[in-house]
Amino acid sequence: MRKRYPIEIIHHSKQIVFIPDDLPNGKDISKIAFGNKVIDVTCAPHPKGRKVIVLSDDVQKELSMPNLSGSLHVFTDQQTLFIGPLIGILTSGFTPYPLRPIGERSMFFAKLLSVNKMVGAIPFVFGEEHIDWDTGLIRGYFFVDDGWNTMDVPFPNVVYDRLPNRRTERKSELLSLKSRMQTDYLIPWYNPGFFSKLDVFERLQQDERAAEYLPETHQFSSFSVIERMLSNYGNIYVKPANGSLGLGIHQILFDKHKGDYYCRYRDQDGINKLTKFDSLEKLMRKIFHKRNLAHMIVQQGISLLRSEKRLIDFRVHTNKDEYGQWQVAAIAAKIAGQGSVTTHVNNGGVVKSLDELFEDKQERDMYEKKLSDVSLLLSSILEKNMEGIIGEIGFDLGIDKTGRVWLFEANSKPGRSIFKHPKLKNFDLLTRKLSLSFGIFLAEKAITAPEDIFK
Amino acid sequence: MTPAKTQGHYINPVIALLTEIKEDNGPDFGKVHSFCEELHQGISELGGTFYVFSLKGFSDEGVEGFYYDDDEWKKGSLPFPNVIYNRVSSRRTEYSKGFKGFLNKLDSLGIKIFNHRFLSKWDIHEFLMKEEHLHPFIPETHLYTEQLLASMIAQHEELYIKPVHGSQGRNIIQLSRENSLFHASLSSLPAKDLPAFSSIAELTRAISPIVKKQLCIIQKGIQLSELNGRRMDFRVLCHKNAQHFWKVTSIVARVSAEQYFVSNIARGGEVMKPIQTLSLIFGKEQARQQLALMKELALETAEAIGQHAEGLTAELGIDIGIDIKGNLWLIEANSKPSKNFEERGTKIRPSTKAIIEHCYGLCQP
Repeated sequence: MRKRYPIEIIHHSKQIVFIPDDLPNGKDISKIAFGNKVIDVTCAPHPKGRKVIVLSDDVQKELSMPNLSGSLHVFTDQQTLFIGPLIGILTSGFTPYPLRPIGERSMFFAKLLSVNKMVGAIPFVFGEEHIDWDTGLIRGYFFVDDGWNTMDVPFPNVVYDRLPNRRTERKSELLSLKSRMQTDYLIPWYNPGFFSKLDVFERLQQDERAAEYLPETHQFSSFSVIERMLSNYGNIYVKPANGSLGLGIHQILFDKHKGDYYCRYRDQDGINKLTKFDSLEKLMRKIFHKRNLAHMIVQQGISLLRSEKRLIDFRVHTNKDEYGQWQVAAIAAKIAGQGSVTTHVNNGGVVKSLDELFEDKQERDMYEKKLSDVSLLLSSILEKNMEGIIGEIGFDLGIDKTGRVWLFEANSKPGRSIFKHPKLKNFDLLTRKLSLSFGIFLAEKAITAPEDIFK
Repeated sequence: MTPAKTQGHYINPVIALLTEIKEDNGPDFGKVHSFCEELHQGISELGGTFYVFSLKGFSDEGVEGFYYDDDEWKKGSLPFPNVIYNRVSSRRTEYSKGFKGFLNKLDSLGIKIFNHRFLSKWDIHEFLMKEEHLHPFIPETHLYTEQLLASMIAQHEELYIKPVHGSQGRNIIQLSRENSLFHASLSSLPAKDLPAFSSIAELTRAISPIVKKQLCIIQKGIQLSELNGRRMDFRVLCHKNAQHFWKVTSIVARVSAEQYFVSNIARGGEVMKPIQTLSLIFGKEQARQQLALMKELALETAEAIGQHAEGLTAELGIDIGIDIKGNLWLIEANSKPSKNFEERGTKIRPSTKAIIEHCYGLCQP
């Protein structure tokens, strides 16, 4: 059973730690650890029997432990008492401005760090440039009672990867930082990388349980594949392999009675267009002349559920929780703007909760269960078939007119902007809490059963 | 009569504004009178219908209100609206039994009303304290008690006591401690300084007639940065758009009249452009960061209030101050913000457009 205690600091200069008498193996403790820093201490049960952990201020100083209120998790392994955990959230794009040290993402990180007291951990944000490998300290960014502050702390128990994009992630300094922390310091690293759209489908195809949720999806190879898919499905999607926010998504429709091709897309001015062509070649030449087709994905079109003639799709956000189990943290419906290819809000789409979308409770419960079950199944398959420790996934799912669930995309660093919707605010808090709670789980595993993590 | 509805789409919504109406010399909608003409103009350009009514004009059979026609407001029997924008200016009205019955009636008719209620300063404080990430921006605030006054004045050099239901900077007491003397000033017009007090007991006694009349909060004073010795704060106007996401519509800097401790325009202050004002004090680069954070903070505040307050909230005026170190503080939020900061001219102002957009959003299926 995981334990949490309030931490108190007293003025004393004898490397003293008082521990509660109900702490397992408390009698054997002779060392205390914070992050990767370990020191020898004298340990005694709390003289008044209080259920708190008291550190003398010289211990706090030697551990480079910030002065923060709230209760923390405590793990023991042999003679060592681990308190924390210290969770390092890695990102890039720091600014010299103390009011907004991570630019426009500062508020996002402030909110993420602010769940610390609820989950019982010490999270901080850092970049590659804040690590001092010689002293073994990191200048971490903390969001505390008076706003953003920096403090020097030891290396963290776990690293939560929130690098903003693929470009930064591929930088050599970040690649070497990642391998050094994992192999030399044995620090678990969660949520690495960005899924590529095609990779997700290929990995999922390796598991037959996923097959029924996957629309036929290929990298663009030839017009004949498009022709075949159009004759099978009537319509297809063509989209950039590494796109986001619904940009560059085109729908091609084929009218087999008249032999006409239609392309529905959003032009440079943000206008939703539907254009007719008498051959596929003309369509491709006109619409895609500026795009490298080799970087496009071709996907089977699905006849989606509609609300008042407008397309509906769903965003499901899954997280691993404090026990390392997948949980559905959020479900939202997105309803497309009229005549739009996608349900993205910047295309005139609106966000709704399932309660708002389905007035009938039975219908709502049925779809909620379907979407949840599929998302949990796909999460566990992706976790098994992708490299690295995955802690959260955002799924874009559709439901067709027969009630069948389809996967369009899975994102390893899903955006959270839809959770700003008033009906989804509670999900926002839950996903933030879970993304740190999973860090606590990993920190404990790395201490008590490292073989489970470093396979 | 029921709201005009065609296959789930409101083709031409009927939007109504609720406020107090004086009828002695033609209809007078008080502080929102010219704003109502603007709303009429904006809504009719989009093909919708707009009218103004008071609680008295609403009955089970329909609404008696005023619509704009041939350059004047005409009285008429009007259909129930799809959406109501609440601009009742009296808290007492909103707390009445009649208002409660009115809300119930709207609910049963499926008519939406936004900016449900005046929000008390204490409600807002409690809503915001639920959001951990806003704590660094919230000055220490409690419900007033004499004990708290004694302990807070010992810790802080400056305190404010404000009625929880106050608005426009009325009836605020500013307290300060200098050496062993305590000073108090009142914001009523004209501003009044009380003689200095040499003990907390004397001070407590002197202000007790004011704080006993109504529920008050006591708040740590923030040492706000000043522009040439004049107090300055910022009013950020936020609206929910058609998709129900909060957006910042406008920001103005409000600079107080000299020697005055509230910067409300109603108390003689003036309005300036925020980036210019901030640049004069902090330099351009920091001013840009402060302004960006101000927008982010206002949106977080609006989202929190919108989530925790009863009913629908779609418009908030959020007051933010900047202390001498350059840090931002949430001072107040107002669910019936003044409409008189932006120049009107002949155009429809952004804040009016935002209200209309949200009304149309509420009418969508």
